Formats: sequence, C-alpha cells, structure tokens
Amino acid sequence: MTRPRPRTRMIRITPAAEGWSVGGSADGEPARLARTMEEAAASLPADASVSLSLPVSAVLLERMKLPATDREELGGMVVLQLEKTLPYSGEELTSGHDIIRQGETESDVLAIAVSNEQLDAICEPLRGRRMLPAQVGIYASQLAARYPEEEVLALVYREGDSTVLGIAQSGKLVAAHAYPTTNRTEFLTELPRLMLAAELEGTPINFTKIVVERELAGWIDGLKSQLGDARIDLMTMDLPLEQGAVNLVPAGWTQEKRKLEQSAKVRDWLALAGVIYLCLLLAAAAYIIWLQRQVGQVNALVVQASPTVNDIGSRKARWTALAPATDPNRYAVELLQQINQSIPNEDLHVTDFEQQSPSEFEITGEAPSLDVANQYLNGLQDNAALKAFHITGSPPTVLSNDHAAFVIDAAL
Amino acid sequence: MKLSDREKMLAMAVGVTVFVLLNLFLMSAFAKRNANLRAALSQQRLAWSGMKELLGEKDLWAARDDALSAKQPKLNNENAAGVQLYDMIKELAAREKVTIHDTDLNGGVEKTQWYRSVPVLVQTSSSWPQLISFLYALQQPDKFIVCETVSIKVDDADPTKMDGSFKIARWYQP
Repeated sequence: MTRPRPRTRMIRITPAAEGWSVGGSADGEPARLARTMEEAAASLPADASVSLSLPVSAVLLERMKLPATDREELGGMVVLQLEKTLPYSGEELTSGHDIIRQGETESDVLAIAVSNEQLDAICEPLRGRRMLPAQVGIYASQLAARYPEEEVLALVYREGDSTVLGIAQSGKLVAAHAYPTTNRTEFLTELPRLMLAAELEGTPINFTKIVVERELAGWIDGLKSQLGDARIDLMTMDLPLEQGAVNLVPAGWTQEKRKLEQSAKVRDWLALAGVIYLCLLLAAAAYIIWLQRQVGQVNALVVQASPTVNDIGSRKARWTALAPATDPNRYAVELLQQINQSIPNEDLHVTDFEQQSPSEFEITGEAPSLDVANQYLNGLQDNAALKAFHITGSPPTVLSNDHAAFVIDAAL
Repeated sequence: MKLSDREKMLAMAVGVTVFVLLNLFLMSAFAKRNANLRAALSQQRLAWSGMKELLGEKDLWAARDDALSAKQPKLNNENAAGVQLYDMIKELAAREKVTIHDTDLNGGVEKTQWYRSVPVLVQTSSSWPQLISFLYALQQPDKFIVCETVSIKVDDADPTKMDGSFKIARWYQP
C-alpha cells in the first residue's frame, strides 16, 4: 500500500520579473523561472508543500489607524473597514493585518486583503494538481522583513510587468505601489506621484536606505535623485524569505485541502482493497487451476492403470465365482459344521436346512425358549467362519409347548 | 465533462451494483466449479485407491488364476460327465453308509461365464454323522464339486435319520 506521502518539503513561489520564480536557495536548490503559474505548478515535485508570495498588484494594502490594541479586536475592525471600502462581502475576501505601531489605546495597522476569486484564479493550476498553497504571503512584506534595522526603507523591484515601490519601517511594510511598467524612464517619471500619494497617506518618505533589485542597478542614479541621498543596497532576489505576519489562505481552502486529503486516503484504501481483491481473484483462479490439474493427474493415473486393473478384476471375479468349488469355507459340509457348532443348548434342534444356491441358505429349528433361539441367532452372526454371510432372523414364534420356532436366513 | 454531485452519486450506485452483481456471479461460478472439481477429485481418488489395492494384489490374482486354469477340469464328454459324477457319489455314499433313494442324471450342462456345470440330483437318507462324513469326502478343493442346492430334514419317522436332497455338480472350465 502507498500511503499519501506527507508534504513536508516547502517550495516557495514568488513573483519574478518575467512570471514566477519557483524554489531557490531557501529550498536548497537553484530557483527555476516559470512564465506562467501553469509552468510553475508543473515544475513542482509531487511531495512539495507550496508557499505562495503574492505580488502587490494582486492585493489591496490600506494603512489604518484603529482605536484598539487587542489583535483579535483589530482583526474584526479591519474586516469591517474593508467591507465598507471594497465592493466585496466578508466571504469573498481574505484579509489580514500587520501592526506597524501601537499606542496605549490605538494602533497603526496595515490592512491587507485579496479577493478570493482572484486568488482562486491565480492558484487554479495548483488546485488542478492538488497543491493548493499552505501559506500565502505578500512578497513586498517578506522582502521588507529582511531589513528590520532600517528606520525608513524604500524597496524598488519588478513583479511581472510592474515595478514596485515599497516603503517599510523597521522591517514592516507600510505602503506599496505597483506601477505597470518596467521601463526606467516611465517609472522615474511616475515616481514623484507615487511619493506624493504615500506622503498623503501618512507614510514617511525620508528614507534611510534604498534597496534596489540587482538587475535594476542602472536605475540607481535616477532613483537617488528622486528618493534622496540615502544609502543604496543592491538586492539579490533569490534569498531566503520569512513568511511574514500575514497568511492569506482562505478558509475554504483549508476545508478543500482536508477534503482532498480525505479523498486521497479513500483512494489509497480503495487501491489497497483493489489489490487485495485482485490477489483474491488470482488466488481463486490459481486454486481452480491447481484443482483441475489434480483431477487431471489422478485421471491420467486411472486411465493408464485401467487395462491392468480390468485384467486383475476379471481374474478376481473368476476366483469369486468359483469360490463355492474351491473355498472350503463355502462347502456345504463346512456350513453345516458351523451351524452345528453354534448351537448354544443341546435342547435346540435344527429341523431343516435349505440351500437354494451356494450364496444363500435358510435354517429352520426349534429352541427350548425365545432366549435360546435369539442366542443361537447371535452366535451365528458372531461366527467368524460365517462372516461372509449376512445373517438375519425373523422373531421366533412361541409354540404350544413354550418352545420357540425360528427361521434364520443367510445370504452373501 | 464534469459530473454533478447527483450524477456522481448515480454513477457510483450503478458502479457498486454492477460490481456486486459481478462478484456474485464470480463467487457463484467459483463455488460451482470448486464443488464439481472437488467431487470429481474425490471420486477419482476413491477409484484410484481401489485400483492401487488391486494393483498391489496383481501377483496374488495372477497366481490364483493360473492355479484355477491348471486345476479346473476340462469337459471332454458331456454325456459321460454326469455318469462319472454319479459313480463317484454312489461310491462315496456306499463307503459312508449313506442310502441313495432317487437319482436324476438328466440335468444337462449349464453354462456360465466362468464354468460349465454338470449336475446330478440325489435323495439321501442317513444319520447326521454319516451325512457329514459323506459331504466331507465329496467336496475337496481340487475336485471342483459344488452342492448347488441342499435340503436336509429330520426324518419324521426316525428322528436319528436325516433326509437329504442334493443338486451336486462338478464345475468344468467354460
């Protein structure tokens, strides 16, 4: 039986400049680039557990100041706020939040939400392979978590056809904007507007460090002129990532995964039952074949020996037929002798002996009592010299003189 | 084409029904075949067991058959055979003091697969010891003489005497 293999090998799928990046140094192997999610899903090993990092363009990020400090309470408030601002009901959204800063009575949080429909569309190829992600995070948030020491950090990197400007404080993403271009000039032209939008949201833009994707090294001069004279760091994208504070796995997926696991178990049991069933069928067929061969073998012996056995049988039949002439135990004198010797009492008299053929005879007589008559019958039946005969007697008749008249028959 | 839940249930019900029916058919066929083969095997083994016993006695039956062929008399003259047997019976009866009342030599020759019987019918009167001695002298293994029918009664007039009626035959080779 093949039990479902536990999916312990976590493979991360992250947005890349040209599609998706699968695996990487975090998984102990070089990252593989896939143009589409279909390609990414196809390249996953069967025992993989998937951690999906979503691009900024797929999620809604909204900074909120909420009058609570309890995490659960904050979660409820975030959902309520999102339902007010987004054209989705609570069931159609999966949301989470990351606490940026907390005061005594209020919290500054980054609310993150993704439409379940959009998430399903992205993950359809994974669902087709029964590999729905176990973790769903935000790539920008995970990148920001690499720099917990930086007070205000700017992240610039590509996600597909977009270029992202992410802003983080002390390793926590506070804002992110994806502009749909990978052209340096277009992005640098748009950058002031993105900066202004962030500032209006209350996001600090006095960057202490600017982290740029290594492949965008040629953009550094332009970025410095717009983002300020902060330290520049070139970032290798293929580095280990933290999951981050938010996991956007929809509740429906958990049930779906449980169902898939159960159906996998059922399939396994059915496969085992099928194997046992086939084994039983094969065993039954083998048993029938073996039985047929046994019958055939014994039949062959019988057929082979039949002429000899018929010959012997014929000789035996001749001997048996001639036994009245050759076997002294069958002679009339021997029968009379045994009949005479079996008499238990001198008052018992055999009055008539009739032998109609060598194979049967009849004795008629008179005994002094019923008991003696029966004793005589028993004596004849127990006589070893007469064992070839089947001896029977009808119930003796009581005569007027209290004697018993008996008739005893014997036949081969 | 994707099946609805209801269609899946129906398909499963049909599949399970077909599977169960197929298995019932298979089990029935197996049980029938098994019973037939076991009965045939049991019958063949029984037959083979009897045959093995006979094969083990092959030499015994060959020797007995040879002995019969060597000792059983051949019938050369059908007309004289009855007379010869009667002469012998008469001689033995005289020696054992058994009285022969009546005789019938016209029994003819009776043929079977294994022998040809030439009978003589005799009526006797004698005491019990005389009768026993007569019969003892009459039937000897090498003589192939058989008492085919016997009727012995106590004589009503003299209880010490026995009246006998015998069909005595010699069995010749067929």
